[in-house]
Amino acid sequence: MRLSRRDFVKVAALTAAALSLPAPKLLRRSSSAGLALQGDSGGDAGIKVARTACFICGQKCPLVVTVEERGGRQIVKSVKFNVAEGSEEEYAVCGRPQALFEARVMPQRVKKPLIRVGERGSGRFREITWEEALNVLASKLREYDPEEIVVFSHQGCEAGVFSYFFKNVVGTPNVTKHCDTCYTGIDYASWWLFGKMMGPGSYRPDYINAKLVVFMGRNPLEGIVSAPWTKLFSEGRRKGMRVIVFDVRESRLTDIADRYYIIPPGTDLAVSLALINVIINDRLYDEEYLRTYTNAPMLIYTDTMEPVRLEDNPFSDGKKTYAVIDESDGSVKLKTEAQRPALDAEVEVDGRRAVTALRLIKEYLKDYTPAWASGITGIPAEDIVWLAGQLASEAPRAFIDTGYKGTRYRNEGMMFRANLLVNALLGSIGRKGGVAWPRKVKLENPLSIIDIKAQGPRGEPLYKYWEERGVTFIHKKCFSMLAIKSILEEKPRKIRAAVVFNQNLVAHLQGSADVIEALKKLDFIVVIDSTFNETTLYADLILPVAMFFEASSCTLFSPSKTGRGQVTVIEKVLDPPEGVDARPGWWILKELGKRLDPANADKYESLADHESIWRVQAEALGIDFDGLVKNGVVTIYDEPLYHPLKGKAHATTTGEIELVSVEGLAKYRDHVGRRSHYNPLPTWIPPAWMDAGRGLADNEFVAVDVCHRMTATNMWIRFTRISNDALAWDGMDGVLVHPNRAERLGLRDGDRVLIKGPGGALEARVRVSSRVHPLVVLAPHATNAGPASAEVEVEYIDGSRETIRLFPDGAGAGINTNMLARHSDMVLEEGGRSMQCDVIVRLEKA
Amino acid sequence: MARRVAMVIDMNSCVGCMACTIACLRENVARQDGARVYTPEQSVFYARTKPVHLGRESGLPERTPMFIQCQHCDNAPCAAACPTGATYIDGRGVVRLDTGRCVGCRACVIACPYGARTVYHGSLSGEPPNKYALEPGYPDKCNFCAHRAEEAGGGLWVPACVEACAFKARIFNYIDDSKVGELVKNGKAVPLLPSFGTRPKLYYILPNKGRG
Repeated sequence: MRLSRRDFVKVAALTAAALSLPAPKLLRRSSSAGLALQGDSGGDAGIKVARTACFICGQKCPLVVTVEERGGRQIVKSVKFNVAEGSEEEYAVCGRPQALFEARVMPQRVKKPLIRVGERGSGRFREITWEEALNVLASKLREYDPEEIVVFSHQGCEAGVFSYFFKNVVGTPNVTKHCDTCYTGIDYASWWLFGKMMGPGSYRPDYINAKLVVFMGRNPLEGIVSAPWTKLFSEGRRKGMRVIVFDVRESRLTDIADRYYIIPPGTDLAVSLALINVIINDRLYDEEYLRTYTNAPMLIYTDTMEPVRLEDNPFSDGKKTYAVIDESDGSVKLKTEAQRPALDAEVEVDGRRAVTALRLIKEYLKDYTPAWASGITGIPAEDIVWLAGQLASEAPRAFIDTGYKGTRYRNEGMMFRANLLVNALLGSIGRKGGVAWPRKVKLENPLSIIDIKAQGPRGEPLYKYWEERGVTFIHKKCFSMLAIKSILEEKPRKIRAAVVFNQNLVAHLQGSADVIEALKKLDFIVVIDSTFNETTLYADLILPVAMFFEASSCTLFSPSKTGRGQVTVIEKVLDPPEGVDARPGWWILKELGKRLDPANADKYESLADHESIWRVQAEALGIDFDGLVKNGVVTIYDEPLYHPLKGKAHATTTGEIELVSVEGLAKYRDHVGRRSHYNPLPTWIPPAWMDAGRGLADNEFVAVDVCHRMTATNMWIRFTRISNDALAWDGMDGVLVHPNRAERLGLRDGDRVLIKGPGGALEARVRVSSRVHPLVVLAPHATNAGPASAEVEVEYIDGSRETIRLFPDGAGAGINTNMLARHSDMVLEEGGRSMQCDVIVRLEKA
Repeated sequence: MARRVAMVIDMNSCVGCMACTIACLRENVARQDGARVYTPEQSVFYARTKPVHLGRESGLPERTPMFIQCQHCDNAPCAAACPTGATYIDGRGVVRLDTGRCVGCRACVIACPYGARTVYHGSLSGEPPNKYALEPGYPDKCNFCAHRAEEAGGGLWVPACVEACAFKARIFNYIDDSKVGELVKNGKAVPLLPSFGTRPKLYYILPNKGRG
């Protein structure tokens, strides 16, 4: 419906009515001390401007922060985004770092090194000195065999330094990040088309030049790791990019989308498969692109699912070429010899039927019609046909977004795989306005620069054991779910110690109760973090690490997800507040290194000389170091990489984008025809919540968590008052339940409700909202600390005591789906990743 | 005579990140003393610019996003209603509040058709962040960060919300001879409730969703 501007302005009166008028009150002037603040040059007032980057999420957007220092106090005056010259359309920062002025002083901060005095989980700790704490940690790291230690490392620009240290100095082979609870479904998807695991940072959706983008499983406006993509999105919209969204809820993204569909959770895959069906059957694909850059013409025997012929490609080292039908004469020959390989064709070779890869997909997907997808999603079949036409008419400047999170539903890897296939058919991969490739910058590790040798870990990593037992597609840097499995099952060995750096295992790994059980089995746990959280409750030793703005970093930083190769300086902005003795991550490593590797003590001391390390890193890249320090950020490239084959060849057998993976066929051809993650052909795998084969009962829901614009996954920002106020302002300070479902259960807005899942239960506040699909109960992620309610008691050296609550509002009012699920629900076929939103829960009034 | 200023908010560029709202809270509402931060309960309500959505009953598409804040009217009903002159329009056309003359009668709150004035009835410890910051008990409102105007020494300044917006959704400039003036003149940016004759100097570029 289009409305006139006159209509638009009428609404203000309604808005005014919505704001309650405050009651009259006798006025008193408050302190006028603030009047002297501005322009007062007396005392020791001063302005400091520092350049850093925001580490609230994984994107690390550059910032300039202005701080006023007066009388020993530090007041944050402004937080601005910092953009390298020429990159104004590509970088931004969202609202989250605006809250850092509150974050630094929030009561949830860990103020001193602490040692546990109560039972694990009781949250009772006692202060010890840094000297004692480091000695305890060093002695524990010496006590255990490196194979018996697991390091869980997450946020922080120094995560790579931690990883290097623990692999090469401590020698543990078990250093894992958490992407198996974040995005590894996308790694799995990428392998099938590009021949290697590639996460979301390996793609650079080119919104800014796009005409039409479809979003499934991605919200670039509220998701984490998004601000530069949000900026590209915003600029793309300004230039006329159309947006079509599939989601389980309405959001800011749907507010500004040109069209959106609210669908049952985990059913996007059905839409993707139907799109492939229409694009192939209606010949909407880019023929020249498929011939040139993909293996669409590859002939495959239909009886054995083997390529008819594979030969060394004389034009591409290490790559194979294959048999095709040459349309110029109808003969079968190698692609490298054919003039015009046929795309949708078949032929008899030695009495056996062979079809092109494209024909194989066409035949295999013949039943995945728009009408079929409509039956699953509720989307009119004609809309899917329309969408396929729209994508084709705008191609190659049209695509389905490559996403970020990929561990929500059982079938999410297959969905991203199908989406990549759609993009390949459209010819938008590697094209301007399509899916471009980011420019990555490799920085030398600071420990390598100070000559701490990379001796490598001692022993076999845990994931090898699981790999040998059939778990596939394991991300070698991300096996946290499998590490927990190893701890629980004591396989291949008993794990004795965990080092947890800026990672919240209990909140972040699927099956929190099982994770707690795993933690309880360990002899020793050290958590290095800035704030208390659900995991610190189970620590034996807690080391307070400085927040990202409270220390300069020992390393430059380059986020991997940018189109221009961005390098950022991390300067100290603020001191930790009075009473908080937090130390930078690099300082902790320096002190540990001196204790564990005393022969190299001098080298570890040099880790404090940041500028010298930065200079080495910058000069290796040919960056003007002085300019970098002055501006805080530089970019190295003018634009992302536009080329379907990344300028050379993909890691596939053929070097091409493989619509049907040659390696996949070789390994998994017996999965053709099965609802299997290993099926070399795209196939419908229902989300796990559909397994029961029936509808949900009146009190059953699929538990879904989302990102909110002022929260971030498991980070401290969710504890700030401002973040909680923003959630309340948006009506997201509880779990959203559709009015029809709420009515059936007798639930009203504001009611407390018990959410029971197979792995645990949470108490939450109901927010009745028509903005969600009726099948889901939904809230921002990790806005519920669970039954532990997370209170911490600390006894300090000076005899004082403190009780700290994680959430200002009790245990939180929202959801954490990990606490409702079981750890064993992981998707082993895709590296043991989680499926965090694919869990049926039951609601009842609390 | 000082040049008059105006603001345009482009609802197509706005991604709803709340950077403007939180920056406004820091700049004009929250009190930092180096060890603690003091904010009103439900702090977002007291930000001088806050995101809202309009419902279907408004006659607009469901969930049309916009902001509630002072519209800086040339013919400001709040200033007209103020019995003491506490609410006034300064030389740049910015609608201001002089708390020294305010008696708390709430006439301005009632008169504003945009619901742009809020009164915080609690108490706040610590020093206000600037000389024109929120004071409990007074009908607070946006003043385009007037303290920054003073710091700029008479030239053009950048309000905190504009500074925080990385998406170019907020444009602040002189109303004549600038991009703001151009957007207003060519009708791309429109005021709220022009039929009321309030002549706002805050303009919106409407969302252009719905192209299918």
